[in-house]
Amino acid sequence: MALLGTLKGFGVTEIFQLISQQMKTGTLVLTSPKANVSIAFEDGVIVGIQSDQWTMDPRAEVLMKGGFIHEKQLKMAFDNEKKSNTWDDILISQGKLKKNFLDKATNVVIKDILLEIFQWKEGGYRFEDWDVNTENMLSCHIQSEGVILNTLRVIDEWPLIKQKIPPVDYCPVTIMPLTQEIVRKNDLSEVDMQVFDLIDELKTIENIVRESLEPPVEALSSIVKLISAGLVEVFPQGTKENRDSSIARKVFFGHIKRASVFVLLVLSVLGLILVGNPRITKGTFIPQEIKTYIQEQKDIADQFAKQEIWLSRLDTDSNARRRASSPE
Amino acid sequence: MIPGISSISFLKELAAFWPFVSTLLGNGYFFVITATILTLFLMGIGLMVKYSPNLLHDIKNSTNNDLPVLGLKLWMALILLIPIFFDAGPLWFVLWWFIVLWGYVNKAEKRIAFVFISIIFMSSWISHIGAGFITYAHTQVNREIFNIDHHLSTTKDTLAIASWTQKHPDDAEPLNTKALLEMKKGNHAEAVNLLSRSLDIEPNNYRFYNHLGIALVGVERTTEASKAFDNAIALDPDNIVYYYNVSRLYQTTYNLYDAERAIQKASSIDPKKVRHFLDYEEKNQDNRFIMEPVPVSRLLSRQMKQSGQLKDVADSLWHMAFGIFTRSSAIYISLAALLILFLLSHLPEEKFTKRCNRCGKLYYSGTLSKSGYPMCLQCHWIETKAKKQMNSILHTKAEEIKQYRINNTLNTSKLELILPGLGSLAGNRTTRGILRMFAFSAALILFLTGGRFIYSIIPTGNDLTGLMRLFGVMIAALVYWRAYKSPPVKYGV
Repeated sequence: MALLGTLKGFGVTEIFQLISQQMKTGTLVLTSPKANVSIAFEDGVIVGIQSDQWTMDPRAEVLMKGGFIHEKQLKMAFDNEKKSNTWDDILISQGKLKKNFLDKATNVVIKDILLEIFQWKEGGYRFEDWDVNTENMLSCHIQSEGVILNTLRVIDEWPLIKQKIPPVDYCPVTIMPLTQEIVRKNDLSEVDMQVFDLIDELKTIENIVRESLEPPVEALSSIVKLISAGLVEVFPQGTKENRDSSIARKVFFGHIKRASVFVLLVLSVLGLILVGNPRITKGTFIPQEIKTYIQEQKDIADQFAKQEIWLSRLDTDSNARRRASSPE
Repeated sequence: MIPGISSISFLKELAAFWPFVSTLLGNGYFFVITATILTLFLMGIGLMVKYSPNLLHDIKNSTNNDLPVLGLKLWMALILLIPIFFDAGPLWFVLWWFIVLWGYVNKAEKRIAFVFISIIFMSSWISHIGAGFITYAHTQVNREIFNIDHHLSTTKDTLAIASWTQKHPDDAEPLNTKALLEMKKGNHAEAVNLLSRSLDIEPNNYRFYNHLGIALVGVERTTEASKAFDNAIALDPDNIVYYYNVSRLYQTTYNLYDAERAIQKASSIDPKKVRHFLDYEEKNQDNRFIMEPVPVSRLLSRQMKQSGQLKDVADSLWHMAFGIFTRSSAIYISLAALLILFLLSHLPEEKFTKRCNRCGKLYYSGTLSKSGYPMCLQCHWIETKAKKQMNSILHTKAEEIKQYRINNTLNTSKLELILPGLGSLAGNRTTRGILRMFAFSAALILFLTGGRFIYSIIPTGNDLTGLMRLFGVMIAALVYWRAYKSPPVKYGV
């Protein structure tokens, strides 16, 4: 056993960084009250992940929820599964599943689990630096540093995205078609465009996220980005017939809302002027009584100056003398 | 600051004159206060420049990017400039900006905010002292006392002293001055009476005993005079004036042995001064006993005494800097501000946009660097890595950081040249920024005022305001030169 400790003393980022830097080969077992996750490393590269929360291959669930495979097909594939021929091999050989969908599902699962474990604050870890066995693991080949950077970026930006995500049962509607100029102007990524292509006025946000085969955080970020850019709007599900009037109403109220920003601003300024008694309207910064006192000092000084009395001419031996009154 | 001094030797001599000392201290005091207020105000502007993009980002997000950016910018300007709609002085703006931008400011800036709140806490006393300098010639008959002590008095001064002693029978110093006036008139018995009253109020005042001794000599009560001088010596044994007066007393009673002994005692303390007294006496045979003027420190403390005039001016001064409320509420304002900032500190960090000090990216979660500046998690992670460990994955992020540092260097340099300290503040070099802003504020104040806020009631003979303005220009030039030669953020450092 090469490494053992708690996540309070040594965070997941640091553990990943250490393994990556040392190009270690072995299995990192992370334990927390939520789950136990094992990650296999080979020369510092992540080659397999396994969680005790998974009752079956998590990719199957992702693909099924995304509508890429049917439950029956999956059940049959599981039933026919052998050591040399796994469910995914069966489905691919049958032409019922495309290899790139499977790869994407793998990506979703891995990024999801990594995002989760990177936010663990409690728990423990141990690194077993002997030969790795990825037989029961979800196989992959991911550079640790890339994972760290990407996951940290998501954690950094998540608070903003979280507060702007519309209800997941709402349906997004595209407002205008994508052009090269719009893509360039809004700096849209491939994922953003892929999500945009999935919007068809019928699918809910939840469905789009599943069908995108992207990690939920990434897909939701894309939806938020598209909404913020004004390319997409969302409406409650099942109100397709009302959408046209909704859009018209929304556009109308949008104009009202925009105009009200300026109207309220002007009203607020006027109200504040009336209530506040602004100092700038009074015109003078130095109060009159202070000016008077200082002017009086100056006047007294001028009077002494007229009499040619200057401090520098006064006798500094200010001890006054008194005539001797007693008889000598 | 010190208008009217022609040479260093004059400075030493002028230090014995209350109008000069009071003006010097007053001008210095107001210079420091105004420069501090201007620095705080400029810092507030700096904070606005630095954090308004973050604030706008948050306003945009909270309105779901639905509203026009121009409208949001105008609203942000309205929020930041709310004090302008009230009878608010510059310090209300500073306090308001600290409150509005509290979620964004870094640790060093927060420390400055706490210093600022402590200034608010003390602002009532600060304005009281300032008022003491502004009203120095108008309160506590100090001017009249000084004029009489220095033979500049007019009938008006004499009448003012007489009136004051009637209205304020417990004020010992004017009674002493009145006694000196009575002695001048040859009315020694009345002087003895007045000085006895003074000593009843201040039984340990050695000057009063000295003057009582002189007055008693005038009424030929030499034994009592001797006792009065002895009391003065007992209370202030190092004052040669009293030994000298004792010697003159003995001389008048032909006790030459004791007179010589007293002179020797005085000479053992300060022979030069004794020689000076003797020479003066030789030239002015009639002037023998020495009377003491009111010490400068005594007049300074008197000018700070509470009075109606002083209170009015202190209120005006406070109102000029703050306004809206009265001076008596200064302590409550500071405590309320402290409470508001304390409560604001408990808002979740992720509610406020932060700009990464390393890569310039706006983020919400993140962490703090070792020096307490905001840093995104990516940069924080990269910070802990050695450069040799950089690989292709990190290359993009490293390039992003590099580009931001180049842009940041250029932007902060430009800001530093617009207003010294502004670029440093924007580049998280807070201490340097504040120092440069203070130097610039001091230069500006010197240039605008010539270092003169109040006047010496007796002219000093020279006007140095022009020189002070020139000095201000030189400081400003120096600050700008430093801002040009030493930009706040250097690329590659």
